[in-house]
Amino acid sequence: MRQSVRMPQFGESSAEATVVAWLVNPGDMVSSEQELVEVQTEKSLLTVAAPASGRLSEQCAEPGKKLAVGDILAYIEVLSDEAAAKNQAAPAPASNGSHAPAHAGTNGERATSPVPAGVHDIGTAPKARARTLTSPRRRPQLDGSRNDGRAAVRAGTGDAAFISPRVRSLLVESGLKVSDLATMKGSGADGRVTAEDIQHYLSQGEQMSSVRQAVANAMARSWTRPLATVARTVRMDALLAHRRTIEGRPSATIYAMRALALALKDGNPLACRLFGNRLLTPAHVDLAVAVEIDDGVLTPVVRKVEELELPKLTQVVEEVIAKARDGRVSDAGDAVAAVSNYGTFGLNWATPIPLPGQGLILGLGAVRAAPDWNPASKSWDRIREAEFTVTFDHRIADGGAAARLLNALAELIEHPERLVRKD
Amino acid sequence: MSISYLEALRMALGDAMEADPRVFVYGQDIAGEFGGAFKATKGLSKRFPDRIINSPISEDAMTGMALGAALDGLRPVVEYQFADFASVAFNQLVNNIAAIYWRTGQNCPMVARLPMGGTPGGGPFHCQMPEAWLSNHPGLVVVAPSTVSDAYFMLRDAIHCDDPVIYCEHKYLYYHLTADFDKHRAEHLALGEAAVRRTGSDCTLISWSGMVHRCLKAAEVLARDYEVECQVVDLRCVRPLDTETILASVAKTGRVVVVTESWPFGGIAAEVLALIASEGFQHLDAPPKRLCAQDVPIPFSPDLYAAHTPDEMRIAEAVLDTMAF
Repeated sequence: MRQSVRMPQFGESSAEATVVAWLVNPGDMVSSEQELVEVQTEKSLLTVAAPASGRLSEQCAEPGKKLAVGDILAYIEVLSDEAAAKNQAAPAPASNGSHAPAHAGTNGERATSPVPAGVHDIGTAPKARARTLTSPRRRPQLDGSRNDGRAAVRAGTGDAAFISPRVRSLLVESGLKVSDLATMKGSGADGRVTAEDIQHYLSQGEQMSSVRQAVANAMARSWTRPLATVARTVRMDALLAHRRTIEGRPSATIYAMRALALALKDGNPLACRLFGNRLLTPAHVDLAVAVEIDDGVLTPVVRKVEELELPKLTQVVEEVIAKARDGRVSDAGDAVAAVSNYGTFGLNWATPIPLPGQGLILGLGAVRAAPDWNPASKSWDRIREAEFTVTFDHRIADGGAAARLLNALAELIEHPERLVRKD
Repeated sequence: MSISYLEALRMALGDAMEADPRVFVYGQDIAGEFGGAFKATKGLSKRFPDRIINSPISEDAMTGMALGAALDGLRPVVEYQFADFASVAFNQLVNNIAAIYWRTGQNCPMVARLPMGGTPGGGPFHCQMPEAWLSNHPGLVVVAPSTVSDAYFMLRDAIHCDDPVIYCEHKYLYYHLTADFDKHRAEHLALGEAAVRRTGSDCTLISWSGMVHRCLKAAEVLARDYEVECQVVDLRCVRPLDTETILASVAKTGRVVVVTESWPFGGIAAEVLALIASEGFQHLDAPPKRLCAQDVPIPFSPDLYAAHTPDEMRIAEAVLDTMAF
């Protein structure tokens, strides 16, 4: 290890000193505190001592050269075992406070002043010893051998999870969550993440698209609510047969929307929207439809679904989905609930999150063939079924209401003729 | 032209008297050849024989006299030999002068010049820092210039100010600080404005008066050896504080060390830290620190004195502590 020997601060007045003569040649072994070089300040002839034992590898100033305080005089190649020995001799906390006055604790900045491990290097400025009549002025050294008799106390957070006020501000500003800190490497005391670490972290990767940010934001806000999911299997054979008889051949999503609208309209408490501590039941059932686009999900709203017969609803939903895929959502306003057909991905079961402000989201699983025990014929029938889920805001209603809603909805899906208004 | 901090003060006194016949200087042994304990008025008696006036050895009496003169329409500049002795005039300064405008609605345009700060060997009665005890009283403007240019302009502005100004001048800078100065070209900041003496983005060093120079030296060491770039803020005026500049710097760096030659308890450093903690909390990435003089009376012994007052190595150490948090 190479250690620098720097021009020390001798007295109050001198900012520089002139090298007079070297007392040790390059290549010589020197021991700690051995006098290396004579220097002349305005007032005195002084010597500079070696800060550590080792080999003097380089003299950096010829006699006659004037150096400022802190400039490098020489380098010492410190031997590794010497370095180890030096570390052992390094500052133990002062064992007694005999130098400190009884009320020293009021001097806040010293009493709590820590010495970081990395500071030792600066202390290579060695002690100066005067040869002249002026008394030696020992300066507080940064290698820990301070002459103020106080304990060197390491200040730290004691906790990698510590979040400074600035880090907290940066989290808010940059949209990070406290949990994101766990993925960062902290360079601060005890491994805490510093503001600089966050800046570095943020300089990586790329900015989320605005759609993605909007979805992330909405999902995070929605997730602050207690959400619960109920599910049941619904027979789909009747629906699949019925749709062939209807103009436009409505999809399962259309049936589900109409069934949900009618079920909600039938006095289910989940037909409410929650504002603070107030429940509001809208006059009509407006439903959002989840539509996947390139980098997110859009949820255009279809108004007054309970008034739209299946063919009309098919037409309206096709229009809003086409517009959404085109990037033109004409109506993204408030809805009481949403419908997501995750079955189109081949999924049987999922727990989608309703948007903030929506009390529930109905999910449709994929239609699949299944065996069904027929007690009359004492044989297995081949039927088609799908899982339906309702994820709801548990503050608005309980599992019973959600179950009743889902059962009413299943009843309508299994008897699709009830979805058609009889004139 | 290179002049010293003291010569800048003398120039400001001369120019102020030249510009305004109401200005006069009142102090002990300031007239004639002697020119005051630190020679701030040396030579001015020749130019203004009636306006450099010797006072009796009573800080109380001379301060009261200046108050009366200010109320009577003059612009007195009181010189104390040492800031330490201004304590004898405490009653006049804080009970009468600080409060006179609030009590009577009448301005008190006077300046009290307090030679303060340490020189090795000065001891407990000749090195003290008065800015904290006088800043505690609403009604007084308290300034502490650190540069030759500020020594000149801040004294001119103090004399021009309609409120009483406590002008704290650092004795060590009198002879030790010289700089090229051209009053027609030099930057003239407003009296209450802080100055950024060095820009940096890692840590803010806040200081005033003589300690600004040690902060600048420490900043150089830190930049050279540790790649730590400090922003050095010189308060210039300690009451009122330029809160905007202080908070802007902390917002930039997130780390701060306030450095002062004064004692810690109830001091300006504490006031600055209170401001930062309450109004700049969200900017902080490390606990704000202060580095003050040791909390004991100022020692005579040069060795003890060196240990008493922050120096550039201890300032650098405090910054590294803060950086290591």
